[in-house]
Amino acid sequence: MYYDIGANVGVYTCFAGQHADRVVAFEPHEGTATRLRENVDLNDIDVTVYQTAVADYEGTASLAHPRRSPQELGTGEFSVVPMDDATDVAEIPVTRVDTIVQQEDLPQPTVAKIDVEGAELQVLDGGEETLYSCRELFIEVHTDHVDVDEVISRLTDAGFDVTTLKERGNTEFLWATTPGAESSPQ
Amino acid sequence: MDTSSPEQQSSTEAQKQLLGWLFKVETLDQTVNDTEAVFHIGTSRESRRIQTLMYETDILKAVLESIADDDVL
Repeated sequence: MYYDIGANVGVYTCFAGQHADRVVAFEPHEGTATRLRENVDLNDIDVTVYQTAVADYEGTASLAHPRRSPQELGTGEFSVVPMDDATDVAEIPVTRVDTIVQQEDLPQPTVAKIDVEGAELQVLDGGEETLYSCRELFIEVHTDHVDVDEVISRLTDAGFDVTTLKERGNTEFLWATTPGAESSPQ
Repeated sequence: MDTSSPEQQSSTEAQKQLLGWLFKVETLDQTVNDTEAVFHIGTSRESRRIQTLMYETDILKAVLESIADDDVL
């Protein structure tokens, strides 16, 4: 059972959906979520797509997009986190992972990927019950918005072992595993 | 590894061809390990974006290996 939080157009979802028994994907941007659903259909995989942002509250938010890049699908730069150089694209629904899991009676994930452009801590805080029960978490931390040490601290406090898989510019990719998890990324 | 039956593979291929014929959908095939996925691309820029997202192939491989471990749980 795989959760893709910040699925974008579904690159991870479409590959994962061919191996996981079920995938749940979250993508707040309307046009991107539409493309995500099209890609899911094209790959004939079992994915439940929720067009919503995920954070530590329920309500709405302005989905921001930086002025420095064109507004197009797949940029991965839409965010509910305020940006200095952003334009507001749209008001979007926001929910907590724990809330939607309970409301929709979703199965608990064993693996989750989080790529939410700076809202990493909010996602973890709103999904403690669900995400901290995962066997493995992959988190792209956007260090221009979030203190990576704070993310690592949250994860270690929850009982995970945390490894940095990759650093690139203002992003750091963390791999959090529960003790005893045996997979080993290349 | 593609575990789908030949009939399923044929059906998926036929679906792709039909979509392309009906809606002039352009697609981009990508492969990671033995897994192939196909993506809609509306513009050449979108195609480049898909390939940019694919750039983190090592991370994607790690996620797929992690999911595969579910088989032994």
